[in-house]
Amino acid sequence: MSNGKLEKRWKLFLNNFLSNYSIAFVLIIVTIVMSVISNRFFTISNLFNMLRAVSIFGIMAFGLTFVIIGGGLDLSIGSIMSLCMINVILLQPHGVFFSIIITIILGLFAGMINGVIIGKIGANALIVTLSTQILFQAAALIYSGGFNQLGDPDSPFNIIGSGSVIGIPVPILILIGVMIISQFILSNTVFGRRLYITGSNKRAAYTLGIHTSNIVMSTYMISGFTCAIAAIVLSARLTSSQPTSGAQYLFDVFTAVILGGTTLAGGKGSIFNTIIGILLLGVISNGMMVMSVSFSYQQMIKGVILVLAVIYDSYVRERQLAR
Amino acid sequence: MISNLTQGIDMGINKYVLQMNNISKNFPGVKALENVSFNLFKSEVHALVGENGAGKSTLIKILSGLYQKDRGDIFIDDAEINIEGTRHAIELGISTIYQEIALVEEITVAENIFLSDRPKTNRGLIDWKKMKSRAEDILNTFSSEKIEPGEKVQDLSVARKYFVEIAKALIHKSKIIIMDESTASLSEAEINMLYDTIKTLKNQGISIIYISHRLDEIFEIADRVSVLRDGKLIKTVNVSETNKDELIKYMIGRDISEMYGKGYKYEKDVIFKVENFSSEGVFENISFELHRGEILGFAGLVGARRTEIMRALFGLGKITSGKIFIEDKPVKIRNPADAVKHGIGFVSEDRRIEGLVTSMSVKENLTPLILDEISYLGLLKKGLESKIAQKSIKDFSIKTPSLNQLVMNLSGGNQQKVVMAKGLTIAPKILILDEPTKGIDVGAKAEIHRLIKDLAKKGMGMIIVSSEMPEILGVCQRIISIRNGRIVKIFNIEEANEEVLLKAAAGYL
Repeated sequence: MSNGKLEKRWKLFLNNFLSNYSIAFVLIIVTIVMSVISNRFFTISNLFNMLRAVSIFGIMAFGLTFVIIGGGLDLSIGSIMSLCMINVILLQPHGVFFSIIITIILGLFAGMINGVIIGKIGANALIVTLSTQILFQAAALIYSGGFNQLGDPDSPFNIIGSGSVIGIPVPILILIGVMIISQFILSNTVFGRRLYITGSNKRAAYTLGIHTSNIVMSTYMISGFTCAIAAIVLSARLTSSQPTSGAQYLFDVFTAVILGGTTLAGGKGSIFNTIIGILLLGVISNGMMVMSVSFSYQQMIKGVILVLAVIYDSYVRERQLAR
Repeated sequence: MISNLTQGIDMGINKYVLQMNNISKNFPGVKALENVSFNLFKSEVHALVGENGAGKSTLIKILSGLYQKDRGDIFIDDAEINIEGTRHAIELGISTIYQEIALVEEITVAENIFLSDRPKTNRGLIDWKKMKSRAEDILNTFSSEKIEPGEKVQDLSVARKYFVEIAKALIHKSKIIIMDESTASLSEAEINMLYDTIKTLKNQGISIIYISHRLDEIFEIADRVSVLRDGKLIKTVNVSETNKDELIKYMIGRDISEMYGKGYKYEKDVIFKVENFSSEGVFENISFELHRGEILGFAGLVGARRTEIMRALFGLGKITSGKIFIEDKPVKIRNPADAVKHGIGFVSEDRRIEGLVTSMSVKENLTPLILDEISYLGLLKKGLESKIAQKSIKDFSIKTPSLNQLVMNLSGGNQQKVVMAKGLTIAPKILILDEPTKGIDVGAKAEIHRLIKDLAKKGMGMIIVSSEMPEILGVCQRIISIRNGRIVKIFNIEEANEEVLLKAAAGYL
């Protein structure tokens, strides 16, 4: 009897393990394959390269994870980032600290615009963020006059992008910081719990007395906040900003979140998932770079990965339905 | 009547249309079915009964292709088959009509009937004329009720929707129709219509597996009945050779001498008062008082808008006028958050859509109303949460392998217990229960009734909406009869009985 129970437990554990960690397995396998193919891949300096490369879209991916768990979608992240980048560089003359604070407020405000229209008014997230994507992009272009903005190469601001603490690059530390805070919010706070409930079953959430509109609005503000952080890090790294540089990150952010297994239906997902998605995308991109795959092919391969991730996402959901 | 119906069955001559031999199915941590054998004659109505979690749903889900069996054999017309999926089941002539009607509300009756394969013209376009006339023909074969094929499904009553489901089954030339809790949301008159339809289907040679919690129905329409308990087949008997008490004994494995007890006395002070509560076009001038420790029933037919009144009291739905007093203080309830704040608990009729987040754990479903109490500055005290959840599970004897089990894996009765336990975490002054035992088996029902009485004894005011007369008469002290969104009469339990309540509900009072 106890034997049978043990076997059942083991099976249950294995089932859970596979459904939760299958992407982590893929990550390990891809890492091993890359290390075998190229001896330049598995080195400390390349690891830092890879992590620094993922830090920008990684920070935003954590923000987007909140939005998607809440059942939403945010296509405007790239544009919010562009707008924040222009802002943080243009405000440099007024002081580093001031520019950072205002940029964070700007990111939160941009997210709030999405949040109010989607959460409070109840408009469709896809259409709203598609529109605000264009709106914020236009704002960035007008704000910058259409030109690249250069920062002061000697400003202490640049430490955020290029400095390091005890040998670890600052962007990587910020990525880890955002990760820990996000994880904590999701699993240890009342807000996190209410967010999962809202994303899983909005009607039930409302009946439970949860102010779902506030919850949904908050997720877009969190997303806007992470866009601002990513913008600050990237501007500091480049000591400049382009009014359109955020756009290219949209794709990577979505791929990382979906690859990690956060389902687009809402209510499911975690920071652990997203970090695995970020690392997997990072390893693949980095590996392709090390192997000197041309840019067009890199894009193509990433596109294929996103499609596969979406297929896997639907497959898992179908299987849950069938259960 | 029973003899009339069973006449068609002659065990010697009749062939099995379906044989399920020694079927077993395991889920992680649960033996859902263990060596269950079930068979079905041609033109037979075979009822399947058992408590929630007994394995009825699993058995029919295997038959309808939703689940795969682990062990056992299935024969249809003496040929062994392996049901590969829902589509395959339909091709094999097995149609299932679930409790939650699965029609597309926005399109017409005819389009729903021919949802998967529509009649085509020579040019490959949809042949609307043929579709309409065939839909009409098929509806006429079993239903005396006139249903327009061109009507949109959303405009139909629940009973009529049910007939559309049956028509859908017939289009697929089904030999076996599985009806899962078909009468749970039908009114008396509609149930009688359904009985007539079942008789017609029988005469056409169709076999029916009939799942119900209402034992009276089984004696009305079934030929044989099989009882499941804890995943095992307890007995299969001819309906004419058994009775209700015996079936209940088989179902729960023990005698229950008294399913419904007598009412208790409530206190004098009013804790909840509603005055001239109205919502234009929905209900009007609802006024009543609820005393401390009272169980107040709302009786009426399906569609009398009792649910709408309860939802409005909980802040779900628009109100045009009216006042609410809690312990003599006027309160405003604009949304469920307000209601919860004022100490009103609500257990919704539709637990799967509104009462639960089925994709989340038992623990997470027990505590959402008290998150503010079990946290400090927005941070959850997880240890305290687990303790509270553990206590609820024990107090309500919720059967779950762990706190972290997903609610979707629990049986209906246990899910309902989770909903109730959650509602009580806020220690409400007033608890509104909308159809608290809908689709729940006898054992769990008795448990919930006992619980309701215990809570009332402790001074909680209870409001119960129920379409089951015995339930209303068994647990309530006063009964408000509702018809068309208005109060017909308020009865004391001494003057109420099934007859007067029915008369009031139907408008003959």
